[in-house]
Amino acid sequence: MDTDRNIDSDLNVATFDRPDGPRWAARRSSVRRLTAGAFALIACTALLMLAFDPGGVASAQDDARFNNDTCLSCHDVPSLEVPLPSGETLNATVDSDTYAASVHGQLELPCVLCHTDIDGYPHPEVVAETLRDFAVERYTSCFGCHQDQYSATVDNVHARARAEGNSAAAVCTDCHGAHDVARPSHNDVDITQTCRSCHSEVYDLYAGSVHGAALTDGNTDVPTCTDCHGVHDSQGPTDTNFHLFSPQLCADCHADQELMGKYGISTDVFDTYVSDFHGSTVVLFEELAPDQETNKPVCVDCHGVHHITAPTDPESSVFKENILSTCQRCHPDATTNFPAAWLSHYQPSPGKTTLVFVVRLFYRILIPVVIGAMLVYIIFDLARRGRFHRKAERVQHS
Amino acid sequence: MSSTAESTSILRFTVSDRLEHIAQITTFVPLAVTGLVQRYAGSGLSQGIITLFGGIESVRIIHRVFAAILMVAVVYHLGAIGYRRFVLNIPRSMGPSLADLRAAGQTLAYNLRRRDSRPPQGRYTFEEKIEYWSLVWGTVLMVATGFLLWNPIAGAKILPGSFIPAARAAHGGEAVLAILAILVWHFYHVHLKHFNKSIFTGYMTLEEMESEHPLALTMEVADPPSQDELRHRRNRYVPLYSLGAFVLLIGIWLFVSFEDTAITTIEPLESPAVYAPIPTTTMPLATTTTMATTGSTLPSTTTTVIVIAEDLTWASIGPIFEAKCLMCHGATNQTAGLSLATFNDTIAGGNDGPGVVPGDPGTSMIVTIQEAGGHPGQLDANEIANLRAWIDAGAPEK
Repeated sequence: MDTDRNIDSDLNVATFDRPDGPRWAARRSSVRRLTAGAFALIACTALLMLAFDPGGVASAQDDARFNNDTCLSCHDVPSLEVPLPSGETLNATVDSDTYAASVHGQLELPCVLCHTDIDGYPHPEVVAETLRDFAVERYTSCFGCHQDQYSATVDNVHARARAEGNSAAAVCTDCHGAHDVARPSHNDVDITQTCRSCHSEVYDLYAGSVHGAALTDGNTDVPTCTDCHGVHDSQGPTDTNFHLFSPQLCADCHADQELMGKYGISTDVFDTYVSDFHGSTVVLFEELAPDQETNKPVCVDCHGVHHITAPTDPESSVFKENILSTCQRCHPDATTNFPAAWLSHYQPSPGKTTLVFVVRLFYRILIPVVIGAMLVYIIFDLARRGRFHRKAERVQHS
Repeated sequence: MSSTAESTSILRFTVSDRLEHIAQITTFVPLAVTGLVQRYAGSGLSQGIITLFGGIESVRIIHRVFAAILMVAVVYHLGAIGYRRFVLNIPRSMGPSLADLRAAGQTLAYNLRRRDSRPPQGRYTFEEKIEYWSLVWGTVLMVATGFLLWNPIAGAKILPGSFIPAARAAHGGEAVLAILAILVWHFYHVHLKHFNKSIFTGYMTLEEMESEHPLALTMEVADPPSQDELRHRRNRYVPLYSLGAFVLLIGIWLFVSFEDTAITTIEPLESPAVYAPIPTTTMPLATTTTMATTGSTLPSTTTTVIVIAEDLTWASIGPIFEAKCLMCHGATNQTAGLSLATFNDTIAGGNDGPGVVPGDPGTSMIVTIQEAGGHPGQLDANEIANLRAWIDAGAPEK
């Protein structure tokens, strides 16, 4: 298990080709790696061919056809519009100041680096039926420079949703912007706002949670969207292994003594979960059958997902008065005493769950005493028998 | 069997006894294996075995199947004891007594060389009685705690909830104790000390009996009951036992089918719409929010300040063409046969005729096309106004 909680470290896309963070990357199958590798190889070859092509990118700034000023001479003009079959209008206007201020503009990257289908005028006809189709068509050119980040997205939850026909699922530009692309700020609030633009209902739940409220108050210790879901290789609850793995995401922070110490929160939560019936089952499924579902709950099934609140909050699903109805979600016949069958993340001690502590202590004493006594008996018995046999042999010899 | 064998072999265990022992092995071993891997689920060995059995849920089912078989074997055992006691009228031989305590003390004294001989013991030695009664105690405890684990909701209806985890601790502790006791006590006495095969063959040699169970040989044996008496007792016992066994088997059936502890699928605690874009979100293709809102609505005349050049000659018009038109209508790439690179080229026009009709901007194609809008290299309102004024003035070169 990877316990590095800085999943957002893979947001540090300061330069090209920085790999994604270790968490999900490590969980990617080698097949996917191979696919990504092959993809990268083809793209590199294509780029190399372009470089040796006199009309290619290398000479872009020399050839008027690839000079940004040439492009902007038309595209800087407002109301440059292409009607689409869907009835929507593709706005082909690029504000030169916006582009100049973007991270790509600052590097003076040529337009055609992304708009790889343009090599002069007239441009190839726009084939996209809708604005969304056009965005989905165009984002693939990000791969040219950002192979690792791009490759990490090819099997993420958005890519899979898109493969299933949901074209609204995010592509690079939905989060990063297009002509106004900026360096990732790595700011926790910015991250939540970026995700919010498509997942506003989830965001609203999060904003009301103990984590979201703390973030609003400026506390960046709390998890943001990407801490749990990953960045480019984002995963969601539709992934079976995401559900099974999720306790370890929680544990990344909640088993961290230093971090939890700041808030006086117990770090036993993961260990106590795993040592009980639900947790041990989930961990076994996670390790042995990650592609299978189990009906045993993970952290979020009792505590809440995005709208998670502190157990001391009367709104919390695990607040003392609410816990029975939470148990009843899976155990419909449960009655008043039933929730006490769960030790509430406490290690058995004389003060808490005394009975369990006493039973454990009893066997901790009984087992060595009984087995020890048996061994002592056997040792004496063996010693006596050895003596007896030797004596018997002597008697026989004499 | 030869006559000599008959004369030196003594029947110690009936076929029924031997079958019970086989049943004990075939339930104890799988129960121990499937139980231990659950107790120590974190270890690699356990996980290997769990995988071998087809996953943790299969392991639990196997454990429960053998638990049920064990309970049925207990019902049989009760019947067998009763039959021996009440039909065959064989005196009790397994009951613990003061004589056993004495024998234990004397054995200890012998082993400590305070005594010259082992105490003579009966059909069952105190060592064997320890094992038998440990097994009885262990089975009762495992059945009772197993019931709570199998039916935690029913258990918590009567008992405090903490009895469930306490039962789990006791079930595991007792299991470890039982397994270690078998490995130490049982294996020493019947395998290590000398291999006692009587539980499989049913017979012991006279020498063995004299050495280990001398009192069983000298014990007064009551006259066997007459056939009539036997039939009479059997006719009384069998219906009574059958009734008792029926009740017990019903109990076992209830035990294994008492409750459906949990539903099979967990419903998520919250179900926000996954895709819920914020209404104000702009399409990523629009370069900035301002561009997106102004780009499609801006009529060029309403916001552009018109400034007609004082010097309306090629010197002021040429640069407009240079900035926006020459990429397509240049000296080298004369799209539609039109070059706007020089004054003469401009006046000469293209394939469709003259672009500029001096003195008549209304029929000059360069004006009509630009005023229609949407031409690549679109001139803004100010530029078109200057172009119009220049043509109106006769399109002077100087």
